[in-house]
Amino acid sequence: MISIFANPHRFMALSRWLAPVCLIAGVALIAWSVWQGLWVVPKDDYQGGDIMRAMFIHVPSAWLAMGSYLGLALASFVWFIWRHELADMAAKSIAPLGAGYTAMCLATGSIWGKPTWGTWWLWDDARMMSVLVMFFLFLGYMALRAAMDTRQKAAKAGAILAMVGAVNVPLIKFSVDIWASLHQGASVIRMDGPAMPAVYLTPLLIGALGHMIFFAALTLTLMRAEVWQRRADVILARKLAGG
Amino acid sequence: MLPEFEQNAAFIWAIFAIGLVVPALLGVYAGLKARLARRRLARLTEGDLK
Amino acid sequence: MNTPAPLRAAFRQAITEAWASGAGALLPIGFFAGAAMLVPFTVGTDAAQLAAIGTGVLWVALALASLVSMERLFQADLEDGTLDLWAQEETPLFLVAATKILAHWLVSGLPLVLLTPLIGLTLQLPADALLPAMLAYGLGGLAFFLWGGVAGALAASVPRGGLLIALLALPLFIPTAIFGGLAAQPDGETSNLLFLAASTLFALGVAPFAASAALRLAVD
Repeated sequence: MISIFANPHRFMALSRWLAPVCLIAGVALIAWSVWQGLWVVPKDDYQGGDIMRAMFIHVPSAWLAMGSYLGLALASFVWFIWRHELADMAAKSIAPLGAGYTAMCLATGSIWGKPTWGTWWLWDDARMMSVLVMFFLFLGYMALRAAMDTRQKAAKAGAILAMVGAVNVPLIKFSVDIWASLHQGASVIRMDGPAMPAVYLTPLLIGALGHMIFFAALTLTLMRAEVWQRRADVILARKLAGG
Repeated sequence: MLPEFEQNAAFIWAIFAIGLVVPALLGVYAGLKARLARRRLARLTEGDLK
Repeated sequence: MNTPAPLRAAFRQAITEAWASGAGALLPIGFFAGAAMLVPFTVGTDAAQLAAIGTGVLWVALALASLVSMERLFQADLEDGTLDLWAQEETPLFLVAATKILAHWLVSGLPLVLLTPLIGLTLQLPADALLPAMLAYGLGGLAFFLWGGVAGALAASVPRGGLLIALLALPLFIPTAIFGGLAAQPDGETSNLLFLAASTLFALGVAPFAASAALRLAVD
């Protein structure tokens, strides 16, 4: 599996059809879950009435936000240990997408919070805080990469930062949990409740799967762009050298 | 026809709008980046490879 | 057992650098006091209100003041080639990085901690709570310097990296800010101080390695 992705030529051959396929499949699944969420599923009065439909957007974005940071840290780790260039390209590509999904999670969560909790923002909620921290980690990662003058340095600095951030996220989560328990948190909707009826769970899971596949398609596309960019840079350098 | 909600309709629509616009923008960003990179490579390799 | 030469050099250098460029070590102190001084102007001079937020204000000021000098921490060593020498020494680079950060904390961080009771008094904090709180500020400040040191090492080769360092380091400050804020409160529980100590220990275990990896990249 890794060896397939480690070879840029094979990666380009594979991603050439995989990216559009993922894009179409992801969009289709997302569209189905949005249709279900807005038109089909009945409102649930235990979860605050119609506003619970927000979960079909918010929950996938929250999972993607966490998953993308995990992906960034894993790709950084793989690059740091084995120096597979494609792992670095993956990390570089995941960062802006993850930042986008993290921002989407914060924005939708905040809009959902206003009618249910009565406030746009809750500092006591450990999940909200963790996502906010991840957003800043993504921003810092991109800013650090952009500040480095060579590609190798950008890759290494980014990998170190992503790994330092990854070991800190559990600690941050733990500390905010303790803090939130002291602050008498507001009544929070429990997504992980024991029994979510299938009529909600199915569109939710399908939607999350759709966003995952969509995210993968965009990551592949950005990685392809990166491969082309590096090839162009090599050609340019050769031309400048007079070769 | 758009569905109608008894309450919080504005909030629901705002959330779904964000949920569609953000991925769409990310998609446009990725697509543009790939297209620009590909074009640049094509310009540089003109005559060499094709 | 002799202390390896690079460690002694790093220690000495951190101490002398503090006074090298003008009043280097005084800058964080001035920043710290100045930031805290603005608070009564912005939130009002009501004594009860100031006392309620005083410990938190000190934490924010401490966190920001500890970032002030991070930009130059490793940049100077990179520019004059000291870092290249350190990277080739037998002494592990993470020990050098740890020494430099700790020595820097000694000259730039400890004075801030010693200053907290004084500024706390002006913020109407109860006097008998100020001395125990110094322990919390000391532990927390050390964690701030360690994470700030990682950010400083990452940005060592970036010109004008000050704001970048702040962006990188501030999210890592959160556990320390939380446990520190709880521990420094006048009626704080001891368990919070232990949590604070644990998160500082965690920083002590992780930060030197991350900083040394980042320094290697700056040398490459």
